[in-house]
Amino acid sequence: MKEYINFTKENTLENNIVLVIKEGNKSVELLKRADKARKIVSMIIVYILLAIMALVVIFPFYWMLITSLKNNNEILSSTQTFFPSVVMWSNYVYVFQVFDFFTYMGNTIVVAIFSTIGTLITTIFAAFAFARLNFKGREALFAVFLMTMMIPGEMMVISNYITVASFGWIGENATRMDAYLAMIIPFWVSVFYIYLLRQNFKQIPNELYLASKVDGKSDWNFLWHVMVPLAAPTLISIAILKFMGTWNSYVWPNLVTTKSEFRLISNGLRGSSFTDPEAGRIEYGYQMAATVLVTVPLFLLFIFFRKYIMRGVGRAGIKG
Amino acid sequence: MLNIFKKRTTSKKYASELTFESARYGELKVGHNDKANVDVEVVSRHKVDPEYRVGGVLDQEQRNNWKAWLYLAPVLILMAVFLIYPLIDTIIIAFMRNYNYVKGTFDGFTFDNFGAILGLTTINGATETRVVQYALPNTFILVFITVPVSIAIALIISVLLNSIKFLQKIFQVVFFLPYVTNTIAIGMVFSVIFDSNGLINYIFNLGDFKWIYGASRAVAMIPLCLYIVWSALPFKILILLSGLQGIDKQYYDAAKIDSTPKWKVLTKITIPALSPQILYLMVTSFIGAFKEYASIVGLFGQAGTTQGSYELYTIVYYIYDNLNTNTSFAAAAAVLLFCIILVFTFFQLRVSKKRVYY
Amino acid sequence: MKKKMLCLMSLAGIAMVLASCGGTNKPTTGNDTTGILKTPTTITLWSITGQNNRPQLESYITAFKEIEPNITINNVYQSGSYNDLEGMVSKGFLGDNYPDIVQGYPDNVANYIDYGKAVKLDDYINNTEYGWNEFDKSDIIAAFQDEGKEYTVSGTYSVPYSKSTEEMFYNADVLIGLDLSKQDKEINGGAPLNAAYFDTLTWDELFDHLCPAIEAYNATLPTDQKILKTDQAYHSIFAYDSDDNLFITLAKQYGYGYTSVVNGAGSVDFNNDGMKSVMKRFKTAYDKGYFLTKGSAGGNYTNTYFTLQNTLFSVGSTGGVKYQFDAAHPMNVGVARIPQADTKSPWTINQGPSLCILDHNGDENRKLASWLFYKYMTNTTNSLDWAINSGYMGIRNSNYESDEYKEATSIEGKQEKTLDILMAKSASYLPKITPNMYVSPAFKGSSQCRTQVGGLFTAVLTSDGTDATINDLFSKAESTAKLAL
Repeated sequence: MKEYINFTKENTLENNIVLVIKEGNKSVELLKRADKARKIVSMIIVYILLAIMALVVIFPFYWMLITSLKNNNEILSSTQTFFPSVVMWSNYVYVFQVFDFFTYMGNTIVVAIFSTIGTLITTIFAAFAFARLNFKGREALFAVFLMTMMIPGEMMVISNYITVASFGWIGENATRMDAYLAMIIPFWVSVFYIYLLRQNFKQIPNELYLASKVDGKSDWNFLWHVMVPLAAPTLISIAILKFMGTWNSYVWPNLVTTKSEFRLISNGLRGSSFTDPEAGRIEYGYQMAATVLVTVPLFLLFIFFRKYIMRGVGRAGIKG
Repeated sequence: MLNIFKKRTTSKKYASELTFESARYGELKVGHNDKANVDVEVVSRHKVDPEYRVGGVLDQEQRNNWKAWLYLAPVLILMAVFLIYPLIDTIIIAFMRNYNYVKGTFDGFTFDNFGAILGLTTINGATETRVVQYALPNTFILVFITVPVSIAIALIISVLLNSIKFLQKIFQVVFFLPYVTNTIAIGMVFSVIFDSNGLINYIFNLGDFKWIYGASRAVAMIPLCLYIVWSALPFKILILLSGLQGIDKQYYDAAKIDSTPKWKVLTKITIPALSPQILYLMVTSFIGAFKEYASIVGLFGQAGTTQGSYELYTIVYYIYDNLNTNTSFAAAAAVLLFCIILVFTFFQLRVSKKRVYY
Repeated sequence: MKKKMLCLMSLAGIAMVLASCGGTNKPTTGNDTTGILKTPTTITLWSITGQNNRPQLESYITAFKEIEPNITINNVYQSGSYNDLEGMVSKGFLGDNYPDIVQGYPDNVANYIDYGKAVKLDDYINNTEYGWNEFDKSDIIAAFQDEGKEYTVSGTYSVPYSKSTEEMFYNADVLIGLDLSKQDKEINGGAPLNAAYFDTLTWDELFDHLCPAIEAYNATLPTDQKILKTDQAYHSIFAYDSDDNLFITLAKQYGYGYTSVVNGAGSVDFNNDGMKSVMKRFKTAYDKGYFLTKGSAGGNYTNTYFTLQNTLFSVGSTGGVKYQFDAAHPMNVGVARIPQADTKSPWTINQGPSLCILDHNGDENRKLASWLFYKYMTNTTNSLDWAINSGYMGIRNSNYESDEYKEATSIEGKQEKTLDILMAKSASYLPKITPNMYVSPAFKGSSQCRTQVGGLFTAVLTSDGTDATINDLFSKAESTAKLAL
């Protein structure tokens, strides 16, 4: 007879639960130990699986790093080496010299921060409207939103370029502010993230909304005091993703910046600085060094971002 | 919602001492019976009695109508200018003959562009076979392989990640790495690794097997799919992990008490609870995979495994190639792609309606 | 009346000053002008100049400011390839975000012409005051001038800037003095190989005589002393880097069609029996291990094998001479012209981007300013400086005849088996090639033609070589090329 928890008695989960197992001749102790052993084994398996996958994920980065420290000949030679035979720190020195690193990074950080803030705000508003508010044509409008994701970005470039030019943000007299505006504004709305947040908002139980209504609070209050804190993990993800997206975006910023001092850091990833234009050959060592230099700050920011914000976010309990 | 403790009953035993404000027919009301220490949910089966209507709840719902537009206003303006206008523009251009975007000229409206890109009519005396022969099939192959695989792997990794405490943060960071860099730069790294003198052949002792340059179309798909899945993992893991962290622990505790096997926990609790996120990932990943282009350039540098070959063409690659010189064809291909994705997404959303729990 | 007189007098005065500037002993470019432009004008230059050459370009700009103080040049380095640059300029047309002078290949310029933005330069070239005078027109290498005219509309639309060509590099250590009379008495009249022999090499001589002889000779040598090693993934006797260049050059050398301009549009002519037979010829050579290209060598640059003695010949760009030498495996590298179909009418390709001037709503000052800067950049002094230091070819015949050039590229006093002497050899060989360079017309889709013939060549080499396969490959390439027209 298996008897686990007796519900017919006046028990709640807070009371002590006595696990009663009357099965076979095994004692509780043995079963507990077996259980623990099973847990440890499964933990080890989990860790091993994760470690293997992590290795697969990390390996290309390792390769990128060592390539950036190799001599060009070694990179192209038919035998591959796992570690550079001569560590060429000079690659990094060269890249620093030819690549206006700090200006580009400054531009990128400004553009990325304002893009992220703007996107967060528009996304929160739009997701709230779609997830929580009822209005005529809601589903139809959302369908239209989804449809804008179905056209490849390459096609939009021309129309957007003309639009931005008509605002006067590009052209030979563009100022730094113009260039920033041209890079930030067109991408302030991302249906990608609106959809994501809408899913998350929809998971927040209706009862909370009704409860706050009963309390006499407005929608606005509900949005900012209940929904946003609850959706914090998703919002953080969106912020991180948007920030990184801006950091790595190349085609559009390159197109709309006329002067080199407005450029973003991604400019260096396909730089002519690292290709021999006469022969059309890429200097892999420099190119990889530049890529590492562009990637590392982002990576560090990511680590910092996550730790800092995760610490500050309280986990509001969700009622079951 | 998963009902573990809830017993449906028509008995009013616990509810009798409670008072509820009137609700609409079928609406759920929640209360708490302190004496019995149980939560009570009551579903109204009566039509609303006018004199019991509480002002506010119902009216609020209708009042939301115009406020919603306020919330949406900034978004709609930006969208109209930067997303919807280009979309309409593209559709119009698809029907123009020989549109030249610099001069803004075109030779009248026609349906011919679609016929031309599908090889039904000729262009300059030659037939365009690359879209039907390579671009369309390749795009579909890539979509149907990479999306399910990457979502499945991401799900496994997320669940595993969520179950460990020690080193969790480090693993999270590691798995997010592929998102941090630029597709094309890492593509170069992959192409070196899969080179005929590269690491993969070295580790698995394959001599100088051709994965990238000079490879056959089927073989070249393998490193391509691997690369796409590799790059697609971080985003999915991030979303799924955030979703996982939002699942109430109560469900898992209850399952533990019921000593539910791990497999059942996964399929009956985790996946349904994650279903909004999974739906999101499926819809957006399919849309993204249909637009695949950058990974091919990153890995191969060209549309095929050798110069001049178009074996690895995709629809967006075709669009990119023709954007400047044959804008009409590029627009037609974009509209074609749009229709394909539209149909597919609509289908997906219909099928998933019953399986997504909010 | 008074005003008119003043004007006339000042004009006369200027004319006199200018005329006096023209007379020096050294031949000068068309009236080395100063202060022609009166209105302050700013022009923009877009290029993707490599790191090494940027200081030089900037020095020209600074010096030019002295000469034409009213002209300010805004120099912007773009990133990416020339096609990316073209994309940016094309889009820039929409938003007035494009330069006055842009660097680009003829294909790019062809598109600018289509958009109606490329400036026809004949008026500037022929202008008596600030154009090219008789000396200039004979001095600037004919092929380069011709390239600026090979478009679908008549007129000059681009002018030469960073040009290069191809040379054949051979392993002098092994080949010079090699006696092959035992294998084949006809080679070099029975005498050991010398530089003159390689200067007049033809494809027939190469594949019918030289390669079999070398192969036979190599077979007689013990393994560790072979002149042609085979330890790399790919090896052959002769290697030509660029598949597309070779196809196009062969079409020119043998007189078979490649492309042409018909009725103001491009025409794809390379699907002809002549080229098919030429391809078969090379396919046979490839099968015998005599011949290799980058495309058929797994996409690897052939100089990788040349420096490791896995090929004895490597044909590459004069802009990439430094790759033909590896300090880890030093050897003496000889320089010669590429093999020909007929040594009496030799042809070598001419490569490299030119400059194009773009129109900004007809603004005459900007166009003139651009032309003046270009003229300054390519006057005898500056083009000589560019020829010596940039790694590109000098665009003027006088460059090669000048003492400075000869001195800078002299092989005397340079050590054997160094990159230094190789670069000197390469540079001093250039004047032998310059009279025989050809151009292909540029039109919408000409770059796709080039890509297709390159792919075609590789495909033929690596195919089974049957007639059916070759015909099929040719048709496919022609079809794909036509789509881009």
